[in-house]
Amino acid sequence: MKKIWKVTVLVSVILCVVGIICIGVSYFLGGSLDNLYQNKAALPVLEMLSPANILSSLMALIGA
Amino acid sequence: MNRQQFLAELNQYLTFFSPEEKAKIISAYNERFDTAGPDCEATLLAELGTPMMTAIDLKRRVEAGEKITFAEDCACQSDAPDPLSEYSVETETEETLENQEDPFTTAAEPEAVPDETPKTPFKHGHEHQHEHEHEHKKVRPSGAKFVFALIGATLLSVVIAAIFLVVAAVGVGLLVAMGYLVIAGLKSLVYVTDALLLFGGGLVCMGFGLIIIWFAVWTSISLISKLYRGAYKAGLRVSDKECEA
Repeated sequence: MKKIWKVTVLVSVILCVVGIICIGVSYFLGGSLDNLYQNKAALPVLEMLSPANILSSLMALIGA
Repeated sequence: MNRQQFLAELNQYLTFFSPEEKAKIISAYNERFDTAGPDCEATLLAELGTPMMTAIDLKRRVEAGEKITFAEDCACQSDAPDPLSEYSVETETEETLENQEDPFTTAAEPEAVPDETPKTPFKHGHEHQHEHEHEHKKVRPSGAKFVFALIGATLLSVVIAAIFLVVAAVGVGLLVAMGYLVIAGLKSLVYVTDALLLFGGGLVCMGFGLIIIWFAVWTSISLISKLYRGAYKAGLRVSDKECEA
C-alpha cells in the first residue's frame, strides 16, 4: 500500500511539474489565456471546463 | 562463504524489512555466529543455507504474520546454552501495530510477548504445534454489543464509502478534463503556445486527478478496515468478560 502511495505521489508530482513547465514555456513564448480563448479548437473544451459550466452541471445534477 | 560474506549478502537481501528491523536481524545473526564460535562457523553456515534463502524464509514468515525465532542451536554445540535460543523477532503484523509493542522482543523483555494475544507466533517443532492448538481455542467475538458494533461499522462504512466516492468522482472528472485538454492541444498544434498551455493544463489536471483518486481509495479502505477491526475488538472484549464471568 505504501509503495503504491509513493509511486502515485511521485507520478503526480512529475506530471504537475511537467505541466507547470509547459505552461511556463507557453507564457515565455507569448501565450496567454486570452489568446487561447480565441483558438476555435480549444474554445469548446474551455467552455465545457469553465467553473460556471461545471457549477451549473452540478446544480442540475443535485436538482435532479 | 564466510560469516562476513553471509551477513553482507543477507543485509542486501533484507529489502523487505525496515532499517531498524534489518539491524536487529543482522545483529541477531551476528550474535549467533559469536555464540557458535569460529569452530562451528562452517556448520552454522551450512545449517542456515544461502543468505537469499534465509531472507526469503524471513520474508515468508513475515507475510504469514508469524513470529520469527532463532530457537535452534548450532548442531556442533548443542550442549552449550545459546543466548539466542529465546531470542524472538516478532514481525509487524496489524495486530502488533495495534498493540503498540516493539516488534522485536528479546529474551530480556519477556513481558513484551504476551501469550494471550491472538497472534500467530512461529516456533520450531513441538512449540509450533502447541501454538496452533492454542490458536484454535481462541475466543471468538460474540454478544449483542458485537452485533451492534458490527451494524454501526457497516452503516459508517456506507457513509464513508459514499463520501469518498464523491471525492474519487472529482478525481475521475479531472482525468476526463485532462483527456479533453490533451485532445484540444493536439488539434491546436499549429499554435505552439496554445498547445503548450493545453498540454500543461492537462498534465496538471492528471496529476491532481491521480492523487485525489488514490487518496479517496486509500483513506476509505483504511477507515473502513479500522472500523471493522474496532468492532471485532469490541466483540472480543465482551467475550473475555463473559468468559471471566
